[in-house]
Amino acid sequence: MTSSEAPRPTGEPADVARLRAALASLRGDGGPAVDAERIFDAVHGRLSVEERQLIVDELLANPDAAEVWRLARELSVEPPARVRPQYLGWRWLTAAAVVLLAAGAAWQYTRPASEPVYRGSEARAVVSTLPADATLPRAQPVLRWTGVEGARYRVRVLTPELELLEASAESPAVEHTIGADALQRVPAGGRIVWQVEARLSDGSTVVSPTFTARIE
Amino acid sequence: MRVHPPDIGDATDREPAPAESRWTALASAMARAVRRQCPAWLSDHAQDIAQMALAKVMAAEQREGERPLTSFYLHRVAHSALVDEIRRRKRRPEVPLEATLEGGQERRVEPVATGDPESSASFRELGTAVRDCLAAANRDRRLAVTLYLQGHTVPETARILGWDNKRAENLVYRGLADLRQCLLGKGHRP
Repeated sequence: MTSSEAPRPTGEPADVARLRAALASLRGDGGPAVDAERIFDAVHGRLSVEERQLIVDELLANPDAAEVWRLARELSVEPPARVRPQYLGWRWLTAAAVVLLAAGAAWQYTRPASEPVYRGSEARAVVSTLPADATLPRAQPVLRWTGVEGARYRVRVLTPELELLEASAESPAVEHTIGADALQRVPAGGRIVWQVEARLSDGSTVVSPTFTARIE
Repeated sequence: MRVHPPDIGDATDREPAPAESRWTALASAMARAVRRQCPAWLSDHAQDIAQMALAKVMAAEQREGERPLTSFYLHRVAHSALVDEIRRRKRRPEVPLEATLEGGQERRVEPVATGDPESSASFRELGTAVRDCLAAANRDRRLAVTLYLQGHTVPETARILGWDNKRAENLVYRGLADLRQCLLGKGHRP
């Protein structure tokens, strides 16, 4: 996926491939996170000319952004120029959670044990350490998950209808106690949906699958 | 670039479908958006990446409220999830970074292989010199050459920067000439 190994277009100067590869060899210094979606918009002409030029100008100073730009170009499948908006109401989020949970469960149960390690030893995955659909004591409803080194976490707790009950502040702790205000809105034996977003030391984020639990 | 019209609209517009079937259509469209952009070497994990992309959609909805779930948006989120995964793997030195072309021929993702002389410090010094030279160049020439060295053709460079082809061609040509002179001045053979 490198410019240096791609066939040289007719008329391209002979030294360009070498210059491209040399520039691409620069590595980022873990600076601010790169907004891949904004770069995607720029590559596909969805930003103004001025904004696109500003982003291109950033590529030199930010090798991470340059790498994301190259990926946006190389992976490019032109999205449709004109699309019809699809407004889906809040109800679809409930179904979304169900499908995500089902997909996650299917992934866990159907993935061959001998498959090369992807998520199992994945140091950056965030996975609940609670039993599936655990029942939490109302007096001490603690959510726990596997940590990622150096990460800080935010937790969202929602109803099964995905109404937000609580969103935690960012914290390095790999557990979160659901607050009293949120608990008041959960009936005895009621179910909650929760999800963790980990902000890593390099500025990137990892969003966990959604998990469920019951409140005693 | 190939154009693949999405068909989520077809799936959701035939009749007022219940929310779950709408979401199923969305999940299916996201899976297709991921597969269309996914390099062959990562295709075994397309399902997992699609799930990560769906989680991004959910998180965005929860954070920012409802938004139009256009096919462009789905492609963008799918792309973002793919980029996250590719960059994550590139940071893991033990993972071979191989890509497969459509015909099955394999190629490397990294521009240079470990141990390649071009991966040496001197090669990166050349990259640094390219960057320094461009940073000191006239802005328009810098923008043109930066995009050209990112792998864009002259017409693509013109489109992205909002210029006509002739102007882009001139700026790339003159910018490259300036760059070569600057590199020679720094003791580098372009």
